[in-house]
Amino acid sequence: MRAGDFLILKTKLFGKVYSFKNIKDVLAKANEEKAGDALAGIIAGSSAERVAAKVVLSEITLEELRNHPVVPYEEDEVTRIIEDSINEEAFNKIKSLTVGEFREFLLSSDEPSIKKIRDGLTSEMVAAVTKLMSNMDLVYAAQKIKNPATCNTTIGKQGTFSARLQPNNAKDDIEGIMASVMEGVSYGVGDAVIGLNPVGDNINMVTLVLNKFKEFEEKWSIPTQNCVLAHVSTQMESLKRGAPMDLMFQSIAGSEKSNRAFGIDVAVLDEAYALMQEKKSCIGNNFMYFETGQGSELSSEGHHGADQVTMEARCYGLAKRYHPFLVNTVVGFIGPEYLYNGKQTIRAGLEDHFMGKLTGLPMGVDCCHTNHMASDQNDSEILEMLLAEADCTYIMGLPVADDVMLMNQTTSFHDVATIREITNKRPIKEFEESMESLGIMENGKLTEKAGDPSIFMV
Amino acid sequence: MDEQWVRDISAVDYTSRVTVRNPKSIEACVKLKESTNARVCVGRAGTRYRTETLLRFLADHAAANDSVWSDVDESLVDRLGFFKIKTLVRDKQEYITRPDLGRKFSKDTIEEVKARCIVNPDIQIIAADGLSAFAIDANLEDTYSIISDRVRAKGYKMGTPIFVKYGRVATMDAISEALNAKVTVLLVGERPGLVTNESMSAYMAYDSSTVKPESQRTVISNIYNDGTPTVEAGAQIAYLIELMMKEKKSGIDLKL
Amino acid sequence: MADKILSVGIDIGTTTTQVIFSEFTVQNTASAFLVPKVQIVGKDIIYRSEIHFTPLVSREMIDLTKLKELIGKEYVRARIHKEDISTGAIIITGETARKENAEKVLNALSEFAGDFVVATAGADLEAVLAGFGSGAAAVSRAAFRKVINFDIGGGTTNASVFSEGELVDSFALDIGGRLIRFNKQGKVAYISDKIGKIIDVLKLNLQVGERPEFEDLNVLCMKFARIILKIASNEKLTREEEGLFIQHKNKNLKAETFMFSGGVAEFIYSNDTIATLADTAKFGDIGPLFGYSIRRIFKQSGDQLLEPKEKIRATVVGAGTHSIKLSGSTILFEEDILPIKNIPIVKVFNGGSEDIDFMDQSIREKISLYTDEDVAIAFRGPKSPRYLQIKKMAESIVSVFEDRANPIIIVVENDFAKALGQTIQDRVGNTKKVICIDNIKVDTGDYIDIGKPIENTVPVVIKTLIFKN
Repeated sequence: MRAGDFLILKTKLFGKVYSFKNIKDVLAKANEEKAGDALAGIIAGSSAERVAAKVVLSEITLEELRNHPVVPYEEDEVTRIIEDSINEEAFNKIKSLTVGEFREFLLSSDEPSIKKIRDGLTSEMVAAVTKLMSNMDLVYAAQKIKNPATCNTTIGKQGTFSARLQPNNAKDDIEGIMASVMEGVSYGVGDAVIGLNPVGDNINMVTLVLNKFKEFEEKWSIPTQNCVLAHVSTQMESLKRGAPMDLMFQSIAGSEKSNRAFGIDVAVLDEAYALMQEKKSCIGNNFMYFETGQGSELSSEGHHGADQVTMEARCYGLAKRYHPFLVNTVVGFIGPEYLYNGKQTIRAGLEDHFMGKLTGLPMGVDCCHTNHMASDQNDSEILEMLLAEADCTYIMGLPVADDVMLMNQTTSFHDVATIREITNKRPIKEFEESMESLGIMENGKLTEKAGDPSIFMV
Repeated sequence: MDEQWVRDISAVDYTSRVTVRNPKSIEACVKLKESTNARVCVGRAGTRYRTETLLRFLADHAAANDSVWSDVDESLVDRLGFFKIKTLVRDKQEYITRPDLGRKFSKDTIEEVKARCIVNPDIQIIAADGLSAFAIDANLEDTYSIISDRVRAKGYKMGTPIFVKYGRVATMDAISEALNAKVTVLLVGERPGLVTNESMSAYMAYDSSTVKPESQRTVISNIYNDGTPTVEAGAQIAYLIELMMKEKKSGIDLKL
Repeated sequence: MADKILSVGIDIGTTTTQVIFSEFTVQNTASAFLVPKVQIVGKDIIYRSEIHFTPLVSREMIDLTKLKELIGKEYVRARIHKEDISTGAIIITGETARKENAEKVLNALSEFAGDFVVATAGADLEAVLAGFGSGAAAVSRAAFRKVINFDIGGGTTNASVFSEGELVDSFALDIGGRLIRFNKQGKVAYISDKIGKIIDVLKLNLQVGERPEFEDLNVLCMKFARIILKIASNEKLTREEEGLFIQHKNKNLKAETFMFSGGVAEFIYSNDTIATLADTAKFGDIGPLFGYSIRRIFKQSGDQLLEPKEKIRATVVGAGTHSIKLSGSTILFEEDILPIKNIPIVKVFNGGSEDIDFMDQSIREKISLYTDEDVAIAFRGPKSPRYLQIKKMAESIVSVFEDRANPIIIVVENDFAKALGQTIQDRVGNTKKVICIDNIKVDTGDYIDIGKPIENTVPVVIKTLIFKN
């Protein structure tokens, strides 16, 4: 049964009738199980109801989804940014597809065909089709799509697997930070960015660290990007004072209200973007870096009753405006009230990666877990390996995956090297060449000399 | 047979142990280790961790995990004279997934607090298990003792100390309102990491209230042996209490 | 939030006098959710004076009136009011410091010094300051190498050795660019008696009033240069050579990187060849030839010579920017008794393990030397003490001070000063003033100045040598 001019939000499954209030309700209940949707009180009441929601969703057209954003156009600037950026020509090609048909289109089409319709998508469409995909579907579809971006180097090319070197330090101690940098580079990590989450948010610290990273990169001729992940306003001030900044970072959310909780709005991001155009120290035209993560809208009470997958997709719709060099979801960073266990985290990682890729972003994933989740490092390793199969652009590299500042675990320098060997992938070319001349890599593999940070000390 | 055991890996100070095979400079590695508690200079087996690194990682994760699922030593809070209450949460499982319930009390609980605790105190101290019972076990006694000695020496009226089981930060607002406290201090176990499972935070507010925003609170986190030393944190909390009593404000309004 | 403080550095040497002003940025660098950590986050030199010849009445005596005038003019030129200065150092160096007028100079200049400026002298300290000012300390930290800095002035050579940013040795030698001076006719006008022995041993024909042979000067300067190379590479010295050390010998540490500052360094890092008496005597002393000799010797040896950030200004920059430290950020003080100056350190448990049970006994033994002077009790203390230990320490300290009228001043290394200070204060009530600071390492024999608070910390100057001569 096809919905024509009016929406059908009701179905029957094994003799039982399931009806849904509206599209937002269908989208929420069609989600794979997530603790955050339960906390928000919008989760499907049973497994059968979840499937019923998927069935109903499969029959909704992409045009109907465009007409029913989960947060109204008038109320929310993120909705406006996404809606106003739609390419009508691309949209017209797909508007009459149901979500079910759209799924099959994505699975059966090649990359050029997908890219032709991409600018006709809203985030609600991206989220909707995700809910009809199995984990392997998500890997398969995401793997087709490459979204390269250029800062000092070009990330996201076929055959590469990159990593952010995350040298976090609980005391913002510059020597401690550099110890992690040296360790990481000695494993061939850091081609995406050398990027620190600082403890304190102050201009001097941002400037000091950016300079220090630059100095290290120049001293050892390592072509990459630097970044300090402070608040955008702090970075802007540092940039105005002449700090060498390749990438400007900000955490973003899928609604105006939640962005305000981060202390930003579109105007601030626009200003940051314009300032970078003028003052950035990198070469290329992709110089923004965003982080997102399922659950952040609910945690700042800006989810507008929508599910966390849909809100996450809207982050990517917003990010797209700024042609970023890096975007990654930090999956599992808040805790079990949003993603309870390894299964939910793995699912979320695959969903986010796929959604980002489909939106057109050079998507990476921070496979993270806190110590109060029912999840462990084995789950993170599974997710990393699946992401590598999905041609994920980059993951995080930390010393033994232990973030001593954020007090959670991510993925390690060792993991990056391992995945490259398992999947026969390489770092970004210029970075690999630099690793070769440092004697750390040979033919894409670590040499004897690798894993010894003291080579940068003497 | 003699008692024999495999060596205790948790007793090893991994933050100073270099396990890189044949480094270019062992001195440089030692120096790097001294500068950070991150797990650097660990070496590798192929591209993977050495066995020692893996086992220690697993041990530290287990310790962090256990601190979430353990309960605070009740004999400690009894000995210190804390009045014990509980939020709406029924068990740890619910506590982990329902932060909303961990912020609320039943009517009966609030009535009991009003009936059995000192009302209108200058200073109300609360301890909550939060996400690490071990943090409270390790830090509560010294922190609480130094604060209460100092506050009493300054002549302030101390409230009945209260321990909240399954408690989140916002419980301090409800208790403060129930007892009409001036300054409320909540000592709570932080989400554990691999570095430590004993880190505690202190949240402080003047006229702490359920209708005020988060920014009403002044926070000191990272209280544990290798972070901010327990007694020094207690002294700083006592200092901030005096400041809040004098200025009648807290959080972003309080200039430090 | 950042605070700025102004610092002055004044260096009065045998030959030259210089002034610099720097601005320090002091800021809490910890996040809002941590206890504060106030640090000096920036040091900018905002004014460098010209290099003046030190005004002398005679060869032995500084002309105080002219000196005051000279420095006063620099304050005017820099548009700095002396009341805005919150820290810094006046250092009297080289041969001048050994003359009895050092103290007079400091008194004469005290009006320029603001409320909290250290006046000090001593060859070792000068060496240390030059090592900081030249950048040797920073290089040793960044490059993970032992770095030796020789600051070669008119009268003395002051050397400091740094490893990983920390000072590991300092010493001074009677070697300098103005130990032989020439008059306008190119005749020898002065030979320091410090180098008479060396001249005799080398059988050189150098006499006041005579025109010297270039070769004799060359032999002498090459000798000096070789001595410096020998010291730098830790080779054994002859007895005459050892005689050139001032007060004490070096610790025989071998450095990997060498650096030179001071006036003579200007000639070491230039490309000028000094081949004649005319080249040599251009500035009226052997400085140019000595610098050239060092350049040649080190080139031959193939050792790495690093160019310093500051050459002739290294000492004054060091004095202006490296004499101050900040205490820890959770401390206890009573502002009305600050600043306090020249407080002798009474280090308890000297060198031994610190058994708190014997603390009052140990303090009583050490403090008995100071009958009614203000003193600062110093010790390391446990890394993360229990409250019981804090109470025990407080009780010991309070009991010792029961029969002393002085304020209780405590300086500890580990982070617990606020806890200890409050616990002491609660026991003594209003009967005594209490100052308890941490993150400061001092030794017996040191003196300490504690300044007015900045962002809840206090600036501290530790003086290891005050007028030892």
